[in-house]
Amino acid sequence: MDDKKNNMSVRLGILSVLFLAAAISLLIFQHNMSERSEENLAQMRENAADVSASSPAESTIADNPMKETESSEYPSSLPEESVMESTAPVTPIERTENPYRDSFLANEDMGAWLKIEGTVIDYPVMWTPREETYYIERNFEGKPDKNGCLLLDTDSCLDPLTTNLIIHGHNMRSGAMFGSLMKYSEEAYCKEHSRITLYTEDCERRYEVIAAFRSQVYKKTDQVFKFYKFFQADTQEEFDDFYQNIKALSLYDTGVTAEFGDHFITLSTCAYHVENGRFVVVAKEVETGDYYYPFRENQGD
Amino acid sequence: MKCFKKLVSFVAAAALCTTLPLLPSLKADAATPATFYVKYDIDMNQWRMQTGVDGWNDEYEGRELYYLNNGDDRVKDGDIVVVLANETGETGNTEIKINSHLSNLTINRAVAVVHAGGIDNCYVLGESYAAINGDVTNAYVYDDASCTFNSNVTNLNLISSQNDTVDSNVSVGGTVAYASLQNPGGIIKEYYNFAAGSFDYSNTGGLMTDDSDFSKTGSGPAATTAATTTTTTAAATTTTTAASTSGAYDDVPKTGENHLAAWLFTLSALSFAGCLALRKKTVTD
Repeated sequence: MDDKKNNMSVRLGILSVLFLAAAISLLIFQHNMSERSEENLAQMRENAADVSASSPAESTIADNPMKETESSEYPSSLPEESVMESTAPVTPIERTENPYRDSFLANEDMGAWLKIEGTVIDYPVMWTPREETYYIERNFEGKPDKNGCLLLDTDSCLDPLTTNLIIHGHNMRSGAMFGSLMKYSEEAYCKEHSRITLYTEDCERRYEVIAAFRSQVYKKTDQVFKFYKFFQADTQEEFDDFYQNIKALSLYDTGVTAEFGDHFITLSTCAYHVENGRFVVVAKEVETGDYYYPFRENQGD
Repeated sequence: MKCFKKLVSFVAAAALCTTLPLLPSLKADAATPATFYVKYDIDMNQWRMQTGVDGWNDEYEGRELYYLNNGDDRVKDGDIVVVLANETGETGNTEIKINSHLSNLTINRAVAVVHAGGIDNCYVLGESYAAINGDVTNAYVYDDASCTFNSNVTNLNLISSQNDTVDSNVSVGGTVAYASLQNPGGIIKEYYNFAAGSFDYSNTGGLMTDDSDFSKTGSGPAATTAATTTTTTAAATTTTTAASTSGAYDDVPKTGENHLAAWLFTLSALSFAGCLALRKKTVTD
């Protein structure tokens, strides 16, 4: 009997050591991968800063060496706001170099770059219609990384721009990705970090937080407001439905209002107030920043 | 040995520290709605009700319906009522009158006419024959159930759980903001903005409403949370219902942190604790 107990005890001891070794190895692997990813991201941020510093803040088409060819070759790449009546005088669109050009070229899955000044949120946003969650546990290079990447919901689209762009990100305890998003539950924090910038291939879009709230992923049969189902508002009614709901759910009044025709960005991460909880920050596009020179052959087609 | 014990304590503490945050947070249960079961007793020739039980309990004969609206245990706003079929399916008086606003009314294979001061979610399950009086926010009529809603319905869902076609018979005396026909594959058709008294669906003729009395275009179910919630969705979303428990969750990327390493630490600590316990027992034996 004692032998049996001894044997069992030894087996449990071995099992314990194996689990411990596996856990430690996993932690080391995850740490290394995260560190490598962070180094790459830091490099990308540095490149972007260099481009921004080296290229003039704004350059007109007239100054653009590609003027004679590209400006006529890529008419559709002009943002909607610049479309004018044919009789109106043509005002040149001022363009500058895209600071994230190298990152866009390094990985075609990158849809945009998201940045919130004063926070750690300064990441590429991946858009993979073929498999929405491809980068959920992969880094920018496609290698395993528990932080994953920010994901632009595949029902959102940057060109043509849908009314709402939904970006999903991991709620990491380290604070990485959307690990700090829940700080927006405090009104004071939101006031200090209300400006969100999205750098797309064509231009820089600036947003201001309009609502922050807790929600959840619902069952398919639940007939309730689902923030993650709103991508496009073709009618005033569709717009009002979304707008009124996010305003009603918001933890505080941001003072920012919206009307039919406005565009939104929605940042979503896991929260634990209920099963399948989500913490959501919605921001309204308030202005378009710099427009960028095309850098792909087919860009704007 | 002391050193060894210290190591064990450290590993166990580390495992606990890493796993404690994973434990689901405690939920306050202060305003849990009460559930009332109502069933027609053939022998007594009257409806009886039970509350404080987990489903109808045949060991008790229940109380008269009078107590649904009177006494300390009466139905309060937000409570749940489940109307059950009796063994033979026979019913004398079909009327059930409730003064309060219900969060959930389920008619389970019964024949009943229910009056309520409003209903958030109303489920009429297959083989039921029901008439509902009082505005309904979300109505779900299943399989071959027949139901008449005599007031307004915000979202009306006719659901076939097995067949491709919807076999219910449903008419509505008030308006319907949104209606859907669903089969196991999902939503087949969606309709919007029915005029008062115009919604009429039969299992033989389909939707009998004149085209001029409703619209085929809209933006999905009418939102109901804006009016009923204040600052968070938690209160509105934790109610479990007959229909919502059966559905799968919407497909949204899972963005919680991966805790595989923490689980491995826990398993390691548990194995080690087991190993030590066995060793101690062997020594004492």
